[in-house]
Amino acid sequence: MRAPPAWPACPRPFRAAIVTALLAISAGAASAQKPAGAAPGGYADSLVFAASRYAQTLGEAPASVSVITREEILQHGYRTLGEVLGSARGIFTSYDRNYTYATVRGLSRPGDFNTRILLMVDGHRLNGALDDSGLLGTEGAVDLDAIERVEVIRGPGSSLYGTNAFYGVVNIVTRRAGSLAGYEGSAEAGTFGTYRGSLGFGQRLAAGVDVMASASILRAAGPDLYFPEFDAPATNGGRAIGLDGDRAEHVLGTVQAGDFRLGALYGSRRKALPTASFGTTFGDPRAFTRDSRTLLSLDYEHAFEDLSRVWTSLSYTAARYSGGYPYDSVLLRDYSRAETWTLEGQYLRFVGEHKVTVGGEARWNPTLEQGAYDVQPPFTYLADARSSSVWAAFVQGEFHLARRATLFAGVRHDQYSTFGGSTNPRAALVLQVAAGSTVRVVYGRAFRAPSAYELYYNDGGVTQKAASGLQPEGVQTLELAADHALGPQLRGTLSLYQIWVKDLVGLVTDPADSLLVYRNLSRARSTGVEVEVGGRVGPISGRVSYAYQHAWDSEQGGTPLNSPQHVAKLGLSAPLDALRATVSLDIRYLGARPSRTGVAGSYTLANLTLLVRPFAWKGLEISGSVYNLWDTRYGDVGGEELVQEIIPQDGRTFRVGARVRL
Amino acid sequence: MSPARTLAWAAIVLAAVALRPGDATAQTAPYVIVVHRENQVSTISRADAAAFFLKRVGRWPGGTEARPVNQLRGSPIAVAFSAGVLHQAPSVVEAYWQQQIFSGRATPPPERAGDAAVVEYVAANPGAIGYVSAGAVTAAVKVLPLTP
Repeated sequence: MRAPPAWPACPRPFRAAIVTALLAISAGAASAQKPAGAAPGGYADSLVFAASRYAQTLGEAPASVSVITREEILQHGYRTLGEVLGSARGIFTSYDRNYTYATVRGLSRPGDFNTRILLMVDGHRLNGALDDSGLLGTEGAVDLDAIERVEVIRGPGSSLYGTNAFYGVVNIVTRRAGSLAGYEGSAEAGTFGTYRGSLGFGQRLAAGVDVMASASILRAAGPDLYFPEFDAPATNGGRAIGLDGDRAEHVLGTVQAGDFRLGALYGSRRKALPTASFGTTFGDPRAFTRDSRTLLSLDYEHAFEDLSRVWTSLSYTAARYSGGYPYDSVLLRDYSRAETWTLEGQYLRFVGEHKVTVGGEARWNPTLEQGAYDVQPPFTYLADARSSSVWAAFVQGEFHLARRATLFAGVRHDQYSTFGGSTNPRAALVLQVAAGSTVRVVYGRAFRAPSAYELYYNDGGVTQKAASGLQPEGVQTLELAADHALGPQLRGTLSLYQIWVKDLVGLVTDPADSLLVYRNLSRARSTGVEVEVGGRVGPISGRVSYAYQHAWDSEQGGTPLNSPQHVAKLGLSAPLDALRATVSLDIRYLGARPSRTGVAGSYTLANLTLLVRPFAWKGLEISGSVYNLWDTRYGDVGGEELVQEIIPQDGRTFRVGARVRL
Repeated sequence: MSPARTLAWAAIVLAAVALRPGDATAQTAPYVIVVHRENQVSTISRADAAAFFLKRVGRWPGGTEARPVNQLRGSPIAVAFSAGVLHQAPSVVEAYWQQQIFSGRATPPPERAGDAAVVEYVAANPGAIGYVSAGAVTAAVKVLPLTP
């Protein structure tokens, strides 16, 4: 373990960007007399659920948390969950023109399908049961128009949630009937033939009966792309024309009646693949991936007279994937289908002022199917069907040791039908050192169970064989964080952390038979510091953050792929009263990070969004966004399946939209 | 509850009692329950009062919507009421409301600063229920004796 690094200098491009941003925002603020726009969500916006499995304030939470609200999503013109996560300190996303991958605190692997982040919607697991994938881009299961808040909890969450809660937990809180309060419709158009529409409805039908429904559709033709790696006459000079199309549909509905809540969601996305990934034929329009998620849930939550509380839920989840991979005249198709039934529950009881939560979960995966076959001539490489189950129990206590000291201690055991068990604790001491100032120390362990994909995927012995004896990946995290109120509505946060990872699963060639196989291969660690100032100063709201991270992994023998040292962000909103508008500026700086054989250069991106509510009547909202304002040329690091080490990203693009509420 | 906390609570409750002008009700509780003058109810049990203030019950027997009103968080009378009627420490009640707010079920009753403001609120709202020092009761509101 190395000592935490010395405080680094702010990168020069970012310094220039900050100056530009502050000038732009202060010009906006100068014209403002008072805050405009919709009222902030108030107290509810300062609450977080997923850090402890019950609501608490951000200051009380035993973890480093960011909450991004619906109003921020609208003001900043975020289009996907990935863009929302990208606004949180220490996190950035990469896009390989197929899926979006999040890197938390310098750790992740390109192409890892976000398996080391637990993704939830209203406390229900969304990671796919077969491959653990968490979908963040247009492939995400929940449309942003159905989201009220996104909770980002950094650090280990396995003591409450089990597998995947490895580097962090992301919980999507969906909108309630009151958030829609009637009908809502939106339409958007953007560069590269992008069109999106949504409809929503929410109403309180009777006392205690709330109904909410939302649906959306996205169609995007996508840009024509140029990949120098394929610049040859046989491959159209490296140009991928009309091969980046994206189409997605989402529906979500909830009915809340007293203590019961019924939820349903479906999200589907089909993406054309322009990158010739997995050695497919460049320029072939048959390459695609399609992903869908279905979640049906029935929750029951009841508070007893002594204020103890029980929550229980039965849910059904389906995760499907299919892909087309053309190899000259042959089209290879592969697919996976997973179905999961989950029964879970928890009971929270107050003992004096202490809180004790006990809970359990049983997940049964009756369907875990994956396969691959050639369409013509027909040939089946793999048609594997499995089932598996896991049960788990957890306990967590929140103990008020003294007037200003709270100890959180919890542990969870998960028992798998596949590999066995994993037990993961978390302890956090939260000290209120002064009014508005909190210091927390958090230690936790987390795991990721080997997925059915890693355990069983093979192509019949042509190139890859099924793994046996895979063990869970493990991570330990130690974090010291301090929050301080810098003003009535302004907070500063500083955190120092160290993360140790072991037994990371990776693909390796077995010398005995020269076949690829998944093994527990490597170790990694990350040390870092994050600083953020967020809140509101006069009419200006937003957050500015900087993260320095020093990561290492044994596979690279140094800095892991796609792990930058510097991640800096600025996101500010200011009212423009003359226009009844809010102008928001996002600037993100990402430092250089290793690609497979080289380096992906640092970049600074800016997005600017104008959100106009032209009438005192809040029923009409018009927005316009410019993404990549300076037309920065940049690329994201691609995974092993790509010839291109760096995948080019979009230049300057535009989006306009209107939203009507009735 | 730690001994220090128990002592602290006891001191606050005792102080609240001790600092009040001496009258008969001071022997039992440092507050009385007040409702709108036209409320038909004549007494209220502790459990029923708690149910109104936690919004577990939303209507009076006649069907009028109940509108509980709290004294300021942390004020001695609010602390005493929390212990005496809700049978919970204020932090526990706070945690209860956080979950209610988060799940979109309910928001806590509004707070008013001091007895006079509560009396004013109760007098103006037919379904209102509040608590004030016995000495603050006026003809504008009706006192509901608290039964065990």
